Amino acid sequence: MEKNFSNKPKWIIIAVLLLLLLVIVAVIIWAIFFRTPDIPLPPDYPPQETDGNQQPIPNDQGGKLESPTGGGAVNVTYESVVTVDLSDKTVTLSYANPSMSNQNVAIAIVIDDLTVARSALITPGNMIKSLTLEDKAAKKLSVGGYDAEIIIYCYHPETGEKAMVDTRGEVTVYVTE
Amino acid sequence: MKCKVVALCLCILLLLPAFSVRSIAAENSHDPLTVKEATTVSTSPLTVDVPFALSFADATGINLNIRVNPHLVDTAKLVSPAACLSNTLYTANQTDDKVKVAIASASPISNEGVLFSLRLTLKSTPTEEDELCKLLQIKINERIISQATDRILLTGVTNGALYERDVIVNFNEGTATLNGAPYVGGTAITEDGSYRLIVTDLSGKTREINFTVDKIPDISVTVSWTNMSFVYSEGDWDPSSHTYGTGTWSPVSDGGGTVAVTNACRLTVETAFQYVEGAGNEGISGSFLSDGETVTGFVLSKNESKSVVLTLSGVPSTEMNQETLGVVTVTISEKKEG
Repeated sequence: MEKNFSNKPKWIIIAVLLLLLLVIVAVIIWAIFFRTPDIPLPPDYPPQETDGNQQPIPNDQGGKLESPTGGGAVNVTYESVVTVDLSDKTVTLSYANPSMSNQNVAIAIVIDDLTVARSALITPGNMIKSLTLEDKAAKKLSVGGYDAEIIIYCYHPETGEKAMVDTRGEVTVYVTE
Repeated sequence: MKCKVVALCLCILLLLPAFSVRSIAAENSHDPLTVKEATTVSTSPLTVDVPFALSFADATGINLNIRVNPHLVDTAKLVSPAACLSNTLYTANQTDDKVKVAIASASPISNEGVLFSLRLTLKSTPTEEDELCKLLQIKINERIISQATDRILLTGVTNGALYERDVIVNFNEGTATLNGAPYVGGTAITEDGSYRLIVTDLSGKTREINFTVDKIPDISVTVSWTNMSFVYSEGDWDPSSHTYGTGTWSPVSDGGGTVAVTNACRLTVETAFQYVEGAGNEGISGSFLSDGETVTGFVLSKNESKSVVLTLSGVPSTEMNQETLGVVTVTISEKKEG
């Protein structure tokens, strides 16, 4: 009888630990193979506010690209180098939405599945030269260079509806302290 | 090694309108002063001969006042005199950055073509932006035929040029501003941007040069699309199987489903087109046609434009009305050499 009483708590502990171990392994497998990538999921109807960092494009030529009803047109102009300052959490870049575009745009800088920075709306005739570094990216990035993408989402200026055409461009992100 | 002295020709050509308006052409009906292409005499030290062609008739005295760029020119002397100078007294005296050429003849002389060459010993190899010398005054028989007031000589920059590197500008005299701020000659201009350099010489005359530094060229493309709405038409009803045949997708408007890309930058770009199915519509796929052939992308040179037409295939799993089927993604990249 003494023997049964002393072994039972030990087995319970072992069983609980094994169960815990199974749960941990299951979480790890899910995280590696089944977790949905953290890519920006653009809303079909974006927030209506324009990006606070947008500024007018100097010497903008004016004019308007034509597109038929239901269509759209944008000029996508950007520098292929983006810099990230980890100390003040800023992303320095150059993206312009010239006034010839007939769409508002929102952009995101992405390294694999990691969103480095994203903007609110950039209206035609404006450009953006800095964004705030996303918290998750601030923890994951380290000093050096990364191959990345800039993703441009277009939105109708009046209805706000997202266009069915996205544009992606290759950029290089340089991270500094 | 052939020494590039295009800028020398440019600086002389700047003065040609003065020559043609003033009296060389009016007085003698001869060609104005021209400068022939320089030839390299030696590479160590680097020495070039710059031929000066001056046409005139019945002159007993000719005086030329030339300014050389002290950043590039070490010494200058007159060589290869024309045959008409054989019985004349001619000298070329260099004082700092000035070279005075004086020709005196007891009897009137005439000349067509090259009168002499100026042999310049250079401090370094000039590039297209470097101005070696500038003609300031021509006197024939004590009469000033042409006189230039612009004495500013530049190195390192050409008006209207685009540079994909740092730019360093030097000038032979005066002071300068760069976009309104004081600029010290020899200072590297490293930031991308448009610049206006104004050099003011000691007499107050100015010379303005506009140029652009663009070390990181912009990628610039225009992406346009027509109505991207599609309608699905079911195939014919098969009474034996009680099913519809394979249906077709078609744009709701004429010319719908078209995406065009125009390269608006100076780089060659590669484009790639991808159709990504929306959630729940994985059974509907898309491909792109150009001139009837399936394509996945293009290479576009500067100002080149191409378009593709999206075609859909597959059967919708449920009845649809105004749903998002998928997204077209246009991927842009700079085409690398090699």
